[in-house]
Amino acid sequence: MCGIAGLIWKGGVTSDIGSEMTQMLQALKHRGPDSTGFALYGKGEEGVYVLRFKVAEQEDMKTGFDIHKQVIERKAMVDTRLEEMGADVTAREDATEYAFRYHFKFGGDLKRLIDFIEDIEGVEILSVGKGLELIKDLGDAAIVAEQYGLKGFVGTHAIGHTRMATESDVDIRSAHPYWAYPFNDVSVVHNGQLTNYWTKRRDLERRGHRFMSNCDSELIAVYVADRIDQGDELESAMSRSIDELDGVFTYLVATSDQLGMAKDVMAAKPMVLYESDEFVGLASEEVAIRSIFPREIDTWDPYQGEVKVWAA
Amino acid sequence: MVTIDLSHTSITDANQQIRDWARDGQDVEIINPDARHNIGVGLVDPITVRIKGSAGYFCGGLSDSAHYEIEHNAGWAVGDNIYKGSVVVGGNAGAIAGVAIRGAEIVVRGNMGSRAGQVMKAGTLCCGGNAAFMAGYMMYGGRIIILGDAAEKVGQDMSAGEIFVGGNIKSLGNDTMIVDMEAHERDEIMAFLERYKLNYRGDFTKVVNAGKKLRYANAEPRSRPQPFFVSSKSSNYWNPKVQEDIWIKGEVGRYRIRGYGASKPVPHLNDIAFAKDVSGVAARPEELKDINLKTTVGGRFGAKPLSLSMPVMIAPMSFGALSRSVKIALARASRLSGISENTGEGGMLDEQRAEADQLIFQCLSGRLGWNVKDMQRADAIEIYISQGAKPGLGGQLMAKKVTPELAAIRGIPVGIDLRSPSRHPDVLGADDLVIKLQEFREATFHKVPIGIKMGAGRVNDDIKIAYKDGFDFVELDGLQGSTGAASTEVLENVGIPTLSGVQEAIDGLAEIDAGDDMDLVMMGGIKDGVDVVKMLALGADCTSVGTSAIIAGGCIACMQCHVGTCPVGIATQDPEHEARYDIDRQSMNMHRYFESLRWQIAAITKALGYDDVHKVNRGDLVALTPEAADITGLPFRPEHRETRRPLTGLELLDRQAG
Ligand code: SF4
Repeated sequence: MCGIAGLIWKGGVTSDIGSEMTQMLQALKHRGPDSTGFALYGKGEEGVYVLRFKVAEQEDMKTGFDIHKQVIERKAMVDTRLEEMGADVTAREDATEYAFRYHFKFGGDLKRLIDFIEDIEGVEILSVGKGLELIKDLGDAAIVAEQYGLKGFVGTHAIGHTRMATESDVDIRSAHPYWAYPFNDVSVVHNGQLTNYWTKRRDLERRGHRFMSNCDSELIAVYVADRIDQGDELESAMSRSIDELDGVFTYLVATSDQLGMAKDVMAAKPMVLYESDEFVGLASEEVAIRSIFPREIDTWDPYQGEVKVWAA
Repeated sequence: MVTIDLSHTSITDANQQIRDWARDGQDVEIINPDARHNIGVGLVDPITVRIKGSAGYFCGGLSDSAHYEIEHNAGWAVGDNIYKGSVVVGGNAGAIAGVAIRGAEIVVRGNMGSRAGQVMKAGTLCCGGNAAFMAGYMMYGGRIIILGDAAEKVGQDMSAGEIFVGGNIKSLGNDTMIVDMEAHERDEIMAFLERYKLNYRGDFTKVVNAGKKLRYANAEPRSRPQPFFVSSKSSNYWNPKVQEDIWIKGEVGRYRIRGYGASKPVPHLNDIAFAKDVSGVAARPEELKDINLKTTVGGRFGAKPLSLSMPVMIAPMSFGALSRSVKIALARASRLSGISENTGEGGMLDEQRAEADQLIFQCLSGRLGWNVKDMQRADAIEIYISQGAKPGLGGQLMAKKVTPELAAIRGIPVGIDLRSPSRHPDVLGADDLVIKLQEFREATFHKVPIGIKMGAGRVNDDIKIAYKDGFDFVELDGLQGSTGAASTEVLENVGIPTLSGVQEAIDGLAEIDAGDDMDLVMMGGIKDGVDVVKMLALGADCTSVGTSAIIAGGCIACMQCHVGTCPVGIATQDPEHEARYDIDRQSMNMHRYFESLRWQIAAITKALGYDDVHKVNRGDLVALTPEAADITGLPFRPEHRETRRPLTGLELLDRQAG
């Protein structure tokens, strides 16, 4: 119930990926009009983490009792905890009234820091990474990009997702992309369903991973990150997923410097691929890739069971 | 040659312009197509449409006699369901190229995606490059030519037709084999390639169906008639029905297949009563003439809604499961009573179209009998996802019923045990469904309501998808609905009761603040006007009757529908059996039954204190059992069982007669 898209500029080239991904996702709006998510990979500064977090949801801002006061309190609590843990916050930006973007330097155990902050009621960490910045909110791509000022975001690669919310839980937490907590810079978008979700989730939980949602895409993120953590290359982690994950799915994974795609053995979910010497674009429908290329390009459908990885 | 620029023309406007030009005999060139969906859908005139670039999903779909030339690539389902005509794709094509074609020529110069030619019936699909996996999946006829390599499972579960592969075949599909090619076939292929300027000199491997799975190995024996009311007595485990079931399984060695509906008792509308005493219902028609029963269905987005004289439709039942005579009788009865008839799977009959004033045309996964011309003469379109009796499974039509006439209308080989696919080739999620719905709208010029038929499963989610995808109406079917053939275990155990279905639907729509613009038509065990009013009070906008209409029209509930030798000529394609069916008499029986519904609906509406049946509401109902209260959230009032027991249809008729 969604559209997904990904792009990567090869050979260290950077571009306004914020605008490019916005256009691609806007072209897929019909596949998912309710919310939009972006995982954008910027260049990052050496030794500096970017933290994206929310202290409330857009919906709460309209209805929540006393919410404006709570937002201020929660943010203050985040500041205190960062300081307590010894993080050196070098920049603070308000993305919206309830979503923030911090830069900080930190030499300690990142997972502990993240857990400590997320322990605050109402606070959700969207992403922490050297390059990754994750944004998701209600509305179509143009609205979310405008609200979070994504136009002009310069980087190397990005993935994104448009979502049609059908579960009774329309919580934005079950929106993509998923960040593979607590792994730096790994994010996933996915179209399809896994049928062995609970079996795999229990495996991963036994290995100590925590899940924020019941969404199967989050499982893919954690699965891939876990494999990488065990020493797999991205490509082999993804190839293994084709055998181990059951169901119909097409998914995209991004790491700090790579973009990968995998298609299940049934090829039941669409994916169109365009590749040139300097650029790779992928989307549920060609119309999204066309939105950033006014000229004619050659595209094709990757085969079933295919895995491909490109480096920035 | 006229030029249409898609960079500033909407698809709907562009398609309208193309149709207008086509009528004038003008060819059309589309510039800046940018892979937009549904280009040229619904054309029925012989023109050429040149697309200067790439096209999205369903390019040229649901058309007849037009020619399309796509300079670059095409998305999913290029040439969907084309009768005559052609599509030439200069570049690559996405998945399911040439899906369900019925005679067209589809040429893809580059590679094509998976499941090319799925459920195609006739025509040629030709690929200059390589084909991804399952080319020819479930094809029923026609020819696929692949000049390059073919990936895994070529011809998976094909019933008929031929696949010619020039390059390597990675693997063959189920029930296929390689046979020698005949000289004339090669000549025909070469002539075809010549016509489309495809250069190829090599050999071909010919793949056809191996004929091992077209029929069940053991036919279903005819069992002794054990009418419904006997078999549903489930007071002990080893009753005669259970014994018979075991014997027959011992004989055929597989699950059993039967027709009709579930026989196990589940909470239903009988477990709900009216809060008010309705025993003083008005008896005489004069007193009821001012009660409004008129119902419209499908006006959500400005299409011309179905306009029904009461909140009742005839449920979808196929020509195939039922005989031609019954379909005609149903259509006639629907006209006489001012309600709608539904084609079900398997195509529209001319007589049925002529008899029915309002006819819903159903699209199923096998695209059997599906075509643009009938779409354009239907009063509403319905895409079938599943049915209450066997949610998640495709239809079954046993060989006895697959006569030459029936095979022709459906576009399939004669005499196979027809198992329709359980999924649509081009709808694998709610996202694809949006584009499919748009294709239907384009093919019917946005003038015809488009609904979705689904069996109750995960209703709470499904109904939201239906709403968000933009359907005009939903026809939701519970476990009590009947079917022409399904496995007995499925019939009894898989579906969700109608009562749970309606409640989940109402709740789901409320959760997303859907309002009431999408009409909800409930079916599955509606037996009289009392049930109709209760359904409306629970929140449905309309109801649909299948089994009860058939019973009114002569069915004796022997549950042998699957066998094909229905004793009264209903569920049969055998001319001898069908001859027993008296269309004139039975259509009048059905008509009178529908009129009894009207009478009851009006009488109860009035007794509840309303002048319009659409004013009845949940406040008018109580639950008689804890289960019904739990399912519906209605107040549990067991005491109403005695004092406010709802009248049965028969009692009400008695009262009316007296
Ligand atoms: S009478 Fe005919 S339609 Fe009715 S249950 Fe028997 S076989 Fe089926």
